Order: sequence, then C-alpha cells, then structure tokens
Amino acid sequence: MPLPLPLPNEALRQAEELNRRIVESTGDCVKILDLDGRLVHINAVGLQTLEVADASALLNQPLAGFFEGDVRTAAEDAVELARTGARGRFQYQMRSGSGAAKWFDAVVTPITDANGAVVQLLAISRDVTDRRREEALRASQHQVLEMIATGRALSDVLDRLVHLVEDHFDGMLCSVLLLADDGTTIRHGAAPSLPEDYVRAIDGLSIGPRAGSCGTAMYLGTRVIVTDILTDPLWDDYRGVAQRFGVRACWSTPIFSPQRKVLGSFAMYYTEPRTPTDDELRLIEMAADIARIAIEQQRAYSALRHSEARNQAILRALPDWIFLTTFDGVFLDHHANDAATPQTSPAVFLGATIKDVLSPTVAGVLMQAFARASASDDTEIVEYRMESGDVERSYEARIVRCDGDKMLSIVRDITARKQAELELDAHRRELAHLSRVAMLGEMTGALAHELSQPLTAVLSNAQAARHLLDRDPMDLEMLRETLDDVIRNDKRAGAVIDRLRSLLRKGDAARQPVDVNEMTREVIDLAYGELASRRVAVTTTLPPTIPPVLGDRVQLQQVLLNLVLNACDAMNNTHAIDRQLALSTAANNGFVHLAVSDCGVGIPDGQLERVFEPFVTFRDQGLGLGLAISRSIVTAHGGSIWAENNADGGATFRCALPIAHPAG
Amino acid sequence: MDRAHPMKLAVVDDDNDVRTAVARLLSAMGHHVRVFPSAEDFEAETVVVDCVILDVRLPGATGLELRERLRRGSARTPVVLITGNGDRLTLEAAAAVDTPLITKPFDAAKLTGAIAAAIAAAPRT
Repeated sequence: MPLPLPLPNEALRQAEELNRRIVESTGDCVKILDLDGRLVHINAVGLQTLEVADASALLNQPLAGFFEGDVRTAAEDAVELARTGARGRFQYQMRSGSGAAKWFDAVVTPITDANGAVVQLLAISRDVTDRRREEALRASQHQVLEMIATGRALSDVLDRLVHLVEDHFDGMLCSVLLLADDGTTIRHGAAPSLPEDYVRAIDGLSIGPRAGSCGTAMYLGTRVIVTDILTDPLWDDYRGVAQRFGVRACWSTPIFSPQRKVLGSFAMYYTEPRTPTDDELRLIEMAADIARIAIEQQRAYSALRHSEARNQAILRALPDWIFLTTFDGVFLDHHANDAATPQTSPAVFLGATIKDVLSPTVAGVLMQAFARASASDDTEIVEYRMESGDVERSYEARIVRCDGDKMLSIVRDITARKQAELELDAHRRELAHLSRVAMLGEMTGALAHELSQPLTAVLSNAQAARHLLDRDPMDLEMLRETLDDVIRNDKRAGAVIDRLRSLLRKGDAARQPVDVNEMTREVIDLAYGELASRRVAVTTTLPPTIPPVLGDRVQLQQVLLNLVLNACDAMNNTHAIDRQLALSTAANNGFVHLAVSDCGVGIPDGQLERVFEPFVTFRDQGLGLGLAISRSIVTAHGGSIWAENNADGGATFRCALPIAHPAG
Repeated sequence: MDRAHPMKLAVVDDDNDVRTAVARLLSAMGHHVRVFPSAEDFEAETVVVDCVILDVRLPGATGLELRERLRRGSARTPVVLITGNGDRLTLEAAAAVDTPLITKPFDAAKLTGAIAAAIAAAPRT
C-alpha cells in the first residue's frame, strides 16, 4: 500500500526503525538467516532464550546446527522451503540452564527484494511450552475420564490420575486417600510414586484436627497447605514417618461428593519446603474433581453390582418361571430355577410367540391379559390350565409391563393350591349341608304344622265328599268345589315338601342368577310356621325389581333362613306384641344389600364380630355354627356379612352380595 | 252322632283351607256350622253353639286363652282343641284344663268323637 512518505531516504529510515522496534519488542525469538541458513541476526529475546550474553559466537552458524537428529533434519527442510519462497515450519525442545524443558514452534519465511527475489530468511521461534502442557493435560484428563466411563477399577483410575499430575510438575509426588464409610478412617486410594511403607503407615489412621495435611483437610473439609512438614504443628504426630521417607511439603485438598460429603483427599508432596504456585493450586483442584467423579462412579457401579447380585439371589430363590416377551407375545428371555424347569425347552420357545407354543385357549387368555396390563400399568393376574404329561395342572400368571413395550410374566404352578381350594370348598359345602339339616331339625315342629294344615284340609274335604255323595239329590257344584280343594291342598303340601327337599339337597349346585327378593319370599314361606308359632310379625321392604346376584340358591336361602331363625331366637324374651322382624333388600354400588332386623336383646358390646366365630352363641340351642357357616358362604360368593346393634334396640344383620355381571 | 241330631257348631281357625274343609265336612254330616278366622271374631258375635272347634295357634288370643274365657263365661260352651303341632307342651296344657285335643290331620270319626266327649264333659246347666 502506497504510504504518503515525503522522501525515499527518510521513508526507508523510518521503515527500518519500525522493523527494528518490532523485532526487539516481540516476545518471540527472531533470527535473520542468509540464503545458506546461517545466522545473520538474533534479537535480545533470542539471546535470553539461548542463555548467551552476546551474539558473536552464534553469528554465521547454520540454524540446523543448533539441533540434533530429527529436529535438525526438520530445520534443514524448513530452511530449504523458505529459500524456494515457501513457508517452512518445525518444532523443537530446549532445556534451560535450570533444566526445565521448553517447547518452541519455529516458522521460517523468505525475505524478498523489490523484484521478489529471496534475499534473506526470517526465522521466528515462539515458546509454546504452556500451550503444549495444556494440551497434554487435556489429553491425559480425557484419558482418565475415559477410564472412568469404561468402568475401569478405581485404583487404576486413581493411579493414572496421580501420574497425570506428577507428569505435569517436575519432582512432585501425589497421593489420593479415601475416607471410609464410618467417616473417620483413612484408606489408601492411590500413591504409585510414594514409598510403599509410607503408604502402609497412613492406611487405617483416623482423620482429625491435627492429622497431617490430608487427615486435617478431610476433617476440616478445607484445603490444607503445609509448606514445611518439619515445622508445621499439624504434622506433630506424623513427623517421624514423613522424615523417614523424606517428604517436606504437603498440600492437600478434600474430595467432596455433590452433597458436600467428604470422600477423600488429593495431596501433592515435594521433598523440599515449598508454597504452591497458582498452576499447582489449579491442578490440585482439577485432580480432586476428577477423583470425585471416579469415586462416585465406582460407588454407583458397586451399588449396581450389589443390586444385580440381590436380584440374582431373589431369582434363584423364586419357585416361579419368569418370561420376558414382547407385547405381541414373542419370547425374549426366561428364568427358571432348577426345581421348576418349563415343559418346553427354551431353545424351542425363545424367539417363538405365545400362540406358537401354547394352546389357542391359553394363548388367548394370556394375550388378553397382556392387552389389559399394557393399558392399565397394573399387574394382571390370570389363571389357566395346561396339560402336563398325563395330568392337567393349574397355573397363575402375574403379568406386568416393563421396559416400556415388553411384558414380564411371572408364572407359578398353583395345582396344589387349587386342589386345596377344591377340598376346602367340598368341606365347606358338606358343613353347610349339615348345618342346614340341623337348622331344619330345629324347625321340625313348625314344619310338621305346615304339612298338617293342608293334610287336614285334604282329609276333611275327602270325607265331606263321601257324605255329599250320599245326599239325594247330590249337590254336584259343592262336590266339585270340594274336590278342587283336595287337589289344591295336596299341591300345597307338595310345595312344602319341595322347599324342604331343596334345602336338604346335598349340593354342588352351579352358580346361577338369584333374585334376592324372590329368595326372601321363599324363605319367609318356609319359616312361616316357625314365625307364626313364635308369634313373630314380619314386615318386608322389597323394591319392585332388584338385579340378580350370582350364586348357589340353596346356600343363600340357608344364610337368610339362619338370620331369620336367629332373629326369632333373639326375641324369645320380647313381649309377644313387640316381636317384629323386618326384612329389606336394596341395590347400590354394585351390591345387593339384604338386612334382617329384630327387636330382640341385641348383641353384647364388643361381640359384633365374635358372633361370626364358630361355636360362639348367645342362644339356648344350636352349636353356634350358623353364622360362621353363613359368613363362609357369603365370602365364597364374593360378598360380606356383618352385624350392627339398632339404636332403638335389637340387632340388624346385613349381607352384601355382588350383583351378577350381565356377561356372566 | 247322625243326621237325626244336628248340632250348632263353630270352627275357629286362621287357616282358610282348614277352616273351610272342616266346616264343609261337619255341614255334610248335617250340622249347622259357622266359621271364624280368629278368637276376636268369634267373641265379637254373640253366638250360642253346642261346641266350638278351636285351633290352638291363632293370631291374637290363642285357642287356649279363648277356651279359658269361654269356661269362665256364663255359656260354658264345650270346646275341642285342634293343633298341627302335637308337641308335649301343647298336649300337657290341654290335659291340664281337661279339654279334648286332637292333632291334625284328623279324620271325621276322631273329630266327632272329640265333640261328643267335650259335650259330655261340660257341666250341665
């Protein structure tokens, strides 16, 4: 760019002056070489770097001659490139008089005349020691973090971390100590460069307010700088050990968890008394930070391993089969302990679908359960039966969604439980039957009366008919009426016998929809004689219609009959005109409610639940099994039965039975 | 007892079938029979009968209670008790008051025999 300069000579002088000042004021080492690469000029920074007083001994020396080996070749190549008009570059290391290594980046460029011919070469060396150290540090840091990420052992990671820091500073020794879970005991972490005996001497000591640099740093939770171990009171108790191994300065910083819990310490040692530089302080914090990540990660890994081990132990102890499938029923994985091997070999079913392996019925049940479990997030429990060899066995599958789109099925063989349930059910039925027989036995008098009424009518009508036959003329109208009454009363007796027979039946009756209103009327009919002979007045409050419940009609009648007879017993000592029995039914919240209220003596305090226990009775007669059996019947129907005392005297027994679902 | 000696009788029983059938039998045998569903209904009408056939178990006053009142009354009407429940308690109660009692079902002969016995036992006025 043309500058507005007054005179060529003056301009030249000014330009040279400018150049000289640039060269002398730069922090870089500037050299001017002739075309053979020999030194023509070197600036003051260059002399300082080379640690020589003046340039005379260096002038006319070839640049490459300052170096050896590969670096010399690289320097020669760079000079050659510059001579051809290009830009040469090479890097080299130099040790200063103090022995510290320094790295330089050298760039060699051509100096041309007005015609563009190369006349001299310019070599500029820049001190890149700091940059290279930073790069090396970053690389090592990265390496350590990679070790942590790949789950390498904590001791390996900490060893590498210690080396990383030690490499960065000449003569520095580092150690990592860990604080045990008890919060006081010091444990060895990593100290690859410290003498083994020293490391052993520290392991197991306790932290405290005067426990060397590390023990104190962990105790106080702050960085502790001890410049000279020989004089610092923190080392009073440990000075001997330190002296024996020749350490003099020790700086330690605590390693904190994210919750500010002390995990350990990172320490730097020197064999002479020293105060840390900013660089060293920066690095000790960085090292403590990386150590924290390593320790935390190791703890997380260890927790995971423990949890994994626990899960494995649970799995080993479970008697169940566990299957992992996709939502579509493809078997992905399974678990079975030795005692419960699945019928089909895993090689066959893994990868196949439920529909391939199991019968269409069972597969259908499971797939529907999958759909429900997937939609609800709840555990679905289904039961099914399968042929196993020659026998049919029962299974229960608990199905839950896991990992988002997979299904976990825990399958248990419940054949034995099912068998026990069946036997229990049979016992319960047998007991219920015996109880019905006993109950009807108590009603014998009333039932005899119920039969004798129509039989009396039949006999009297039949004998009346014979007399009417003798009349002349015969009153045929009266005769027909009389015979109609014979038939009607015979049917009436038959109905009494039918009711008795159904109650005495030993039942494995199928569950069927039962109209509780109708059942209530039947029970009142059956107990009519008993109620009449005990002079008990009955009122019923039945809604016009009531949803059906699903159940064993006879057993439900038994429950109600038992409640009615109990109510009568409770009113034995009540004045005859006050003997009121109220029966009512209602439907709400999915249940049909049945209530039997009496005006009797009520139930003693605290006995409302006890009356349902076997052999507990407040009556003069009976074994005290009626209510226990009633409860077992109601419970088997999915309902509940309980007792309450009325505010105005007497007791009410309530029974809730689930309404039958229309679909069955 | 035959058609030559018709009697005035009353049947008190809350069971319509029994009441109707017994009354029909006694009518067919030639007697004049009136029926009542309860003791109160019977007492509400001033009827003079030769014998009352009384059910032991009645709503309101029982047959035994009614019998007591009849005995205390000036008429001193003979009573036959009938019952569907032949338990010891009922039999003993009847025996204690020296009243014929027959258990259901009974035939015509047993009924007429009891009526005759009741009339025979009743104190003559």
